[in-house]
Formats: sequence, structure tokens, C-alpha cells
Amino acid sequence: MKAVTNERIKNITLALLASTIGLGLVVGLLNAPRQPGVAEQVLSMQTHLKLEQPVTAVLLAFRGYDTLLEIAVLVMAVIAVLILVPPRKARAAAPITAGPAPSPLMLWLLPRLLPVLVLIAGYLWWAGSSRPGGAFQAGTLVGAAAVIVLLSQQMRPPRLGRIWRAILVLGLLCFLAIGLLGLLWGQAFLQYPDSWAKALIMLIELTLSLSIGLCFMLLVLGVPPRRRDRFPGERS
Amino acid sequence: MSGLSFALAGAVLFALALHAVFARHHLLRKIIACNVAASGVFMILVGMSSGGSDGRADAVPQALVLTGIVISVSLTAFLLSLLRRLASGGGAARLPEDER
Amino acid sequence: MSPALLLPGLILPLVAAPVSFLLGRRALPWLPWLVALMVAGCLCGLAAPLLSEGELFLHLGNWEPPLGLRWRFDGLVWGMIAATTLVCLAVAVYADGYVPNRGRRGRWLGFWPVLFFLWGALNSLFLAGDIFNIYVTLELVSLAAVALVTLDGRPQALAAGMRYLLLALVGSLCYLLGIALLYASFGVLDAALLAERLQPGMTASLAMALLGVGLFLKTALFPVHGWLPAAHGEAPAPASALLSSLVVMGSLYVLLRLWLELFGAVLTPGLRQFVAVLGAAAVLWGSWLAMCQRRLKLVVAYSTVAQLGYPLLMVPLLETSGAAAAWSGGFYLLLSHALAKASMFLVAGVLLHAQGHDRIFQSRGFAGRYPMSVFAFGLAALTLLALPPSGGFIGKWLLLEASFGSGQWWWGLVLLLGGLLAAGYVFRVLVPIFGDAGHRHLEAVPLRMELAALSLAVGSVVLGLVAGAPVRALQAVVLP
Repeated sequence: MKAVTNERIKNITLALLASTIGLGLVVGLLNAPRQPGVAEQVLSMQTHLKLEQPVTAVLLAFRGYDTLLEIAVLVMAVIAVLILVPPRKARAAAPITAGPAPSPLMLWLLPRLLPVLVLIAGYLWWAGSSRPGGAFQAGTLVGAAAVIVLLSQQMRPPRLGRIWRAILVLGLLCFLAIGLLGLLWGQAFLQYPDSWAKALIMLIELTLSLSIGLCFMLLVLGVPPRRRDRFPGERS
Repeated sequence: MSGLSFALAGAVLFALALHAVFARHHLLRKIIACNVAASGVFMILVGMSSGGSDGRADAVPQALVLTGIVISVSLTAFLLSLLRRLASGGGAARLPEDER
Repeated sequence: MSPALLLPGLILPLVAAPVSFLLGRRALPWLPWLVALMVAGCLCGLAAPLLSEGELFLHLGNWEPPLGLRWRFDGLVWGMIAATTLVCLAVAVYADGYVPNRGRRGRWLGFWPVLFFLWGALNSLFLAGDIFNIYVTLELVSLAAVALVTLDGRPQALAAGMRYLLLALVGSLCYLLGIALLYASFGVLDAALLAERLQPGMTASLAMALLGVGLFLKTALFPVHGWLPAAHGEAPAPASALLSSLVVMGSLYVLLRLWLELFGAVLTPGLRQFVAVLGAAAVLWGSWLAMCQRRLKLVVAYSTVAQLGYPLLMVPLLETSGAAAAWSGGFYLLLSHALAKASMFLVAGVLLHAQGHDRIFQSRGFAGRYPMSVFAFGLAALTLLALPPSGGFIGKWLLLEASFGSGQWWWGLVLLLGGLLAAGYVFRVLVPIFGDAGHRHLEAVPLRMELAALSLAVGSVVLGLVAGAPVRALQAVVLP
């Protein structure tokens, strides 16, 4: 009985607290003064970089260091997940590869779908400089293609050997290396030489796409379940 | 003023999700609530930004949100793996203080 | 050498993280040493320009703020990075001895990239001059911290990590919301520019509250300290040392700097007193709980809750005549605490390793077999007790000077009472340890584990012996 009352008091307090926060935010947002951000400067400076897409310019040039750290977060998350995998289960069947047998439709579709996915990923990478797109969008598609292959059970999840590990950190290392190598030629940290800016950004984006794709695939795989936590209809 | 309405909706989402993070016991619900709260914050971030003079949107908040989404995805993936490990070890998808 | 070349050297641990992931065991033991030496070299090279200029800025990618990001480097950042480097190196040396002994080598390989990511993220956090960049580094720090908690995969550790990450995530969302408000209202993300543009008002107060709540959650300050003891107590000893000394120091540093530099005008005297009341509550309540614990790691973890309250006491004192003393005292305490607390957790790990558990009252005779570790524990405890000649003594002395000098004597009382309570929980641990071992069997522990703990404890004492120059460097930082 007492536990139930405590629970109710807790719920009411939480509800009051949350509504106060919501109300405070709404009032605060309605009354906030507005000053223009740096939109104008972005538009005027991005022409220097020969990048027509302002978001790409912000992500990889003006605030490139944020993106560098963001990749570090992604790689760190993958390592954190890998740490959670029990050692002997590293190759155990992940849930998505242990589902019901793939339908004939899926097997028919797979070889036709994959090239399209890869093509679109390549396009997104290339288009990133002038239109919406870029490394993350391309990487997501690469990751999705890998997940589809795993789902169709045509391939088992790879054991993370040296090559896979290298691909995993390739984007981060390439970004850091290009940022630091500039120091040797008298550039600032993370500064791209004017004539090379676009080429270097495209190179970083390409390596990032591959790394991000692999990262997303590993994050989707996650930690394999125990033997007895099978979903209905799964094969053993 | 459509930007502001997005921001206001984001504020409401954030408050609702914040409530859910603390009020719900099942960890999966807590994790989803964190995701909803993050979406609320992103909506505020984009909705409150004022664009340039020629009506083009400010690219900075969009870039910030892209960065934020990737971080949120990474953390969610780790949380889910943690949840699966926790549930397959102890059998419960709850924190000890929420057990009844 | 120009600072533009040396400052990027400070984030070399971020390069070492993927390298250690690729090389695995082959990166040991040389990689941590190499990185620490390079960072230390950069710090030495930066000392001279720092003394002449007072403050250095580096524009990343050569883009001027508000468009680009910049790093700010001053005496305080120098001290924070130096402490981080020292603790990370000592923990790396310790863990190299600790790891193979615990078996399960496969999983422990994950420790090294996480250590380097944490190290690089913290250095980057201290350098960051942009509030969104701080958000990203804080996320990297939190993620690495939780990965450290869950390192050995026991259910209690997993639950503690889960709770920690959920609260840290809520905290960072609050922080991000504060950033969204500030950018919409004032149009810049660079902290220094924001400080110029910020107008006190409802938005500024709301943003300050959101940033504050977020960072209180991440630092585990009273009253949201609940997650810390479980997380720090359940993590493996080298991980606990990193968490309890560096991770909380990072977010507390951000909290104090942002609040004092951005919101100096918004923080009314009443509000400042309130913040210090929370700090005082942390000191008293945390010390009391530390005294009630039966496991050594939990005693040390609760003592972290207590020690994190002290720097908050500087907030009301910064408006008084004792501002310089309060500022340097608060941060000096934070720095000495980092070294001392890391050392204490490393000793707790030696104890745990030697006898298989860390229950205080079943630890008789530990001192007889491991005098060096117990000596390290005692030296580190000097900082918690604020006895001379420790760094903690200097920090507390400066805070006391500020509090009595400015007439706000009640904070001085909190400082003294906190020291007394610390004596309580430290001696409660030391007394059984010095007892007679009898025929108890204690496992052997590699010497480098004990040496690592001892070197950090000695470091916290050295901070007290050579306090002159560092305190002057802290006071040279432009006061908010």
C-alpha cells in the first residue's frame, strides 16, 4: 500500500515538474530575442572553397573539428559495443542473421538492389559538394546495403580482422592526418590549401562514407543474444 | 512563423519525453524517451534559427542538428546493446531501483 | 616554436586511439608513454609563450569566429591538461600491470582505445572555446566514461553504466537546449563573443538554468549525485580512477567557466549563495555517506561527491575582494583532488587485487604487506584532509582566506567541517588496514601498479610544495 502511495507521489511530482519545464520552455521560446546567426558569413565565405552546398561547407570546413569529433564519437560507440560482446560470442549469430529463411523474392531482389544502393551512395557522396548529401548520407546507405546482405543470410557477419578494423577507423585517421599534415606546409590545423580544398574534402568524405557505413552496420548488429532469447520463428 | 511553431512543438515533445525518461520503468521506454527528447531539442534548434536576408536558411543549425543526430544514433545504439546485455544477464530490462 | 604548431599536439591522444585499436597489444607499453611525452613536450613548449602572452588563441582551419571554431589556451587550461596527462599515463602504466592478471584479455583490449579517446576528448574539452564544440567533446567523454564502467561486464556494472548513460544523455540534451536558445537569441556559439553579446534577461536565465542542470547531472553534483557511487564503485579500478578524477573534473570545469564567464551578470548574489549552498550540502552529505560505507571503493566514490562541492563554494566569493584567491583556490583544489583521487582508486584496486574483495573491516594487515600502497593512500589523503604540505591544503587555504577576508565566514566553516569529516572516513579505512594480518593470504601485485599509485600521490603533495608559480598562473587567468 505504502509503495503504491509513494509511486503516486513520484508520478504526480514528475508530471508537475515536466509540465513546469514545458511551460517554461514555451514561454521562454515565445519571448526570446532573435538575432541573425552567421548565415550571411557562411554564404559569403563558402565560395572560397568552391563548395556550393553551405551545410557541407559548415560541416567540413568552418566547423570541421566538430565533425572530426563526431566521427570519434561514432567510432567510440562501436568500440563500446564491441567491448560488450562476450568474447566467445564474437562470431555468434546476430539476431538479424538468424531470422526466418529469406524468401525467394528477397534472393531475387538482392543482386538487383545492391548495385543501385551502391550507386546512390556514390552519387550522394559526389553530390555532397553542391546539393544536399555528403558523407553521412552516403555512409548510411553503405551501412544499409551491408545490413540487407546480412538479413538475406547470404553472408555471415565478418570477424573483425585487421582489414575490417582498418576500414572502421580509416575515416577518422584520414581526417586527422589531413588536418595535421597541413601543419608541415605552414597551414593551420585543419586548414585545407586553397587549390586543394575541394579535392581534400571529397577524399575525407569518401573515407568517412566507408567508415560510417561499417560503423552503422556494426551498431545494427550490436550484441548477439543468448541462445535461448530467440524470437518466434527463428532458426537455431 | 512556421519555424516558431516547430520550436514550440519541440518544447512540448522535450517536456513529455523528459517525463517519460523518469516515470517509465522499462529501459526500452526510457531509451526511446531519450530519443524523442533529442528530436524535440533538434526541432527547437532548427525552428528557432533565422535565415539570411535572401530567405535562405541558416546552414549552421542544420549542420549542428546533423552532428547531433549522429551522436544521438551512436549513443542510442550503445544504450540498446547495453540493454540487451543487461537483459540477457539478469533477465530484467529494468534498473534495480525500478524493480517491484 | 609557434603555439599554432604546438596546440594541435595536445589532441594527439585522439590519433593514438584508432592506432591502439588497430595494433591491440602491440601498442603496449610504448604508446601511452609516447603520447604522454609528446603532450608534455607541447605543454613545456607552450609555457613560455603562455607566460608572455597570458592567453593564446588558435583558429581551427584558420576560420575566424563566429564562423569557425577556436581554441583558448591559458594557465588554467595548461594545468587541467597537465593533470589529465599525468593521471592518464599513471593509469596506463597501472592498467598494463592490472590487465593481464585479471585474465579475459580479449575484452581488456578495448580499454586502450577508450583510454585514449577519453584523454583526447578531455584535452579537447579544456581547449574548446565554442559551446557546441564543448557539447560534442562532452558526449565523447561520457561515452568513453560509460564504456569504462561496463568494461568487465558484470550485471551490477552494466546497470550502473546504464543509469549513468541515461542521466548523462538527459544532461547533454538540457545542455544542447541551452545552446539552441543562446544561438537563436544571440547569434554566436563562440564563448568569448557570446559573453560580449549576452543580455541579461529571461532567455539568458533559462539558458543558464538548462546549461547548469545538464552539467550538474554530468558532474554528479548534489542533489543529482545518486548515480556516481555505483558507477565509480563498480568500474574496474583503473577505470574508476579515470572517472573519479578526470571525467567529473572536466564537466565541473565547463560548468564553472561557462557560468562565471557567460552569465556573470545573470548570477545574482542570492543565486550565487544558493549554488554554494548546494556545494556545501554536497560536502557534508557526501562526507557523511562516505563514513557509512563498508567497501573501500564506495568510500572513495562518496568522497568524490563531497570533494566536488568545494569548487562551487568559490561562486559567491568571486564577487568579493577575495575573488583572485577564491578562483585559484577552487581550481587548485580541483587539480589536486584529481591526482589524489586517482591515486586512492588505484590503491583500492591493489587492495581488491590482493585480497579479492575491498571490504574495509576484512582488510587487516594490508599495510604490512603493501606499505608502499598504504603510504600512497596516506599521502593522497592529505589532500582530502587539506593538511600541509598537500595541494589540497593550498587550495583550501586560499578559499578560507577568501571566505574570511570577505566576511562570508560561513563558507569557511563548511571548509573546516568538511576536512574534519574527511578525517573521519579516512581514518576509518586506515585503522583496520594497519591491523595484524595473522595467517591471511594476500596475492602478489605487480610493482608498477603500486608505483603508479605512489607517483600520483606524490604529485598531489608536490602541488602543495611548489604552489607559488601555479597559483600565480591561475590568478593570471582573466577573471570573469
